[in-house]
Amino acid sequence: MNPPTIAVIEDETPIRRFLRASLTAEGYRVLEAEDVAGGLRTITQQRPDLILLDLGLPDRDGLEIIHAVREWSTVPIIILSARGEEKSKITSLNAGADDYLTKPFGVGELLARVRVALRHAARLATSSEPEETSFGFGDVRVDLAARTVLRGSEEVKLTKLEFDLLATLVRNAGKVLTHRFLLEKVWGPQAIDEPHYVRVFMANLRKKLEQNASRPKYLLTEQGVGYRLKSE
Amino acid sequence: MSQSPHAVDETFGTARTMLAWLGTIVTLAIATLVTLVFDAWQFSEANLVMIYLLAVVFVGVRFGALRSTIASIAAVLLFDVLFTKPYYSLTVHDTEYLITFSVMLAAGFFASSLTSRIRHQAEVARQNERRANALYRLNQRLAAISGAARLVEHSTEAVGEMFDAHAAIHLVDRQGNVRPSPSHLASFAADATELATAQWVCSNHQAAGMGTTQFADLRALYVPLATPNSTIGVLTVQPEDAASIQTSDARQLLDTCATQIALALERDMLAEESQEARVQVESERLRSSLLSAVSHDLRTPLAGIAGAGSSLAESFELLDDPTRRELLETICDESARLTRLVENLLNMTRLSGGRIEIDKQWHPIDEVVGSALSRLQQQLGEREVEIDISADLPLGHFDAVLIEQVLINLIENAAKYSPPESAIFIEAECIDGGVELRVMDRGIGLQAGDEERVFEMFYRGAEVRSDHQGTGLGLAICKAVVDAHGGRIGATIREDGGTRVWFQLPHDGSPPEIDMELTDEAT
Repeated sequence: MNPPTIAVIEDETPIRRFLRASLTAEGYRVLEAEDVAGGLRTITQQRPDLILLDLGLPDRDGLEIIHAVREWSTVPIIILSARGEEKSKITSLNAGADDYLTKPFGVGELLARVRVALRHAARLATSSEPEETSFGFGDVRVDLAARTVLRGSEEVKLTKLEFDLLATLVRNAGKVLTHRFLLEKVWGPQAIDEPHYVRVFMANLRKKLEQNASRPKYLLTEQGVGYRLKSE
Repeated sequence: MSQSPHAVDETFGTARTMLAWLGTIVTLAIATLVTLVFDAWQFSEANLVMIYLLAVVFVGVRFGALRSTIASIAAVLLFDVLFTKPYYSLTVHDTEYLITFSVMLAAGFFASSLTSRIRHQAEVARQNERRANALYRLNQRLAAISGAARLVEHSTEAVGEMFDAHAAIHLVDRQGNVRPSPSHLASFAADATELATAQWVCSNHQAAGMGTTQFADLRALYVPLATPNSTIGVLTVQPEDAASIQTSDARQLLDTCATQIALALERDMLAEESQEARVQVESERLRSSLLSAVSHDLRTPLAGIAGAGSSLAESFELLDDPTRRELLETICDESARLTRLVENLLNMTRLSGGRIEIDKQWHPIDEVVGSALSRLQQQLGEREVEIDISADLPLGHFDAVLIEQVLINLIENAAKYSPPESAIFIEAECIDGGVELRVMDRGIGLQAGDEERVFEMFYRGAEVRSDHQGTGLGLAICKAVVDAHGGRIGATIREDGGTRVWFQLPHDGSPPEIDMELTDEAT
């Protein structure tokens, strides 16, 4: 099988160089572009398996690439952005980006995000196969089919919505999920403007599933953006 | 203040005039009665006439010249008819009485004119006193306030009261143009004539309008507000009673007022200018201290990165593996430090520039504590952190990204300035409906007197100045964030050693209810 291809769309040469070096070393094939026009050309012609996208490109807003690509493809897109740009992160995620990396980031973080995104995409592509129904983190074991949660050997009682929230996190393990996404999936579209629902239910899940709810290890908060279930 | 200096010339018709006439008649009647009694006792006529004389002088003193003249004529007639032979007739036999009559007339006249002069002087004195008082009050008032708008407001009010007039002040802008009074207290319209006249007064540094040689037909008086250097505005007075500002005393008083107001306004302008200059100096100082702090703090990690990078690039083959690894780690560590510094600087400039938007939402407190701790994972390592968040704490209303930054800065400080084996404590409780968070350590602590100063930009406690890790921005950012939330922040020295930094976010409405329809039963 061919190694996965990753398109890096970023105008800063040093960052492109660093991304190319670390991704190539991991065995990925890397394509490069430095603006929106070049990026769209690369994507349509070479059909990469994943896109790393900087939002601040010289010719146009990187958001345009997300909109354009989502017209015809579900290829995972990871945003590269700076801290303090939570609004633009949320906009990109809601527009269809899969995840983000906050600059400056280390190689470890980069590779982890890339792996999660590729795995998730692969699972979607093979949707004919039965969904993996069991998932574990820490001493917790979630069975999506039986709707049961074990902590160690003991069953944890969850309410229906708590379980739905946990199940959504589990199905997207490793990916950041915005408040909006979770509200829509679990509570339905009418609850989109009530982000405190997610926060309160998340706090309950932590109390039931984390060793120390104040210092969660798995049910992580991405402040200002949403939540992420740590997967590895 | 409806009395003008000429009010002593009373005219018929008013109640007071009626009373005066009545008083005159009563006085004469009493005098006649007394004279009749004395006449019955066979007093000489020369003495009887004295009683009338007394009555006439009394009327003169009490009721003025007109009535005293009438009274003296009446007294002479009464005396002639009642007490001189032939009785009950106007005929005078003894020519001596003519002298008596003349004396009585003269005495009454002198008495009344003397009295009226004294009374007039008293009136003037009273008015002067009233105006001196008013002037004093004006000065007091002007000394106590600042700001051109308020000075104008108070001045117009005071002048209006003083002269029973509508008053307005029009200030001159830097180009020398009169700007219409902004004050609502300018109770007569600032129309074109008004402004044109004011402009003329300003340009010519000379009063105009009613009672002057310029535009004398106008119904108001325009006085320049002159300072030694320039005319800074125009005081317009439109009195209810034109006479009240046309006496020389009144004009003098008005000019004095104008001078006082001008001085007060000038003082205020100068103060404002120096305040502006001070702000400018302050921001220059801020900029230069920002630059010097930044250039030092930026250069240190950069020097490390550049040094390590260049040795790797130039002497890669000569270095053994552990050295290469060490140099690489230097680059990573120093970059992380540089990142923190730049983030702090960006936060600070955004916060102090007022360009940050506070996005308040309802959050559980332990979530933001948790996310702050997880972002500090690397710095904290295995460090013991004790968290005490009361279980009944309601949701807080705040910008979680900013409050997380506050907690990160506080916890980072606690970790940096206390021994690695000591614990860090984080507490949260509900106080007065709001939330108080505390971060405590067993570290080197604050120096007494530093409790306030540590929140100043670039201030660093004496004990930590030598270490290069800090920028003196962390706590200033915390304060800026907490201030922006309407909260309070403070630092105290713990009695048994260490530092406690606390901040309070005020009660900010009730947390939203969780709709029960959207919650559910256990599955």
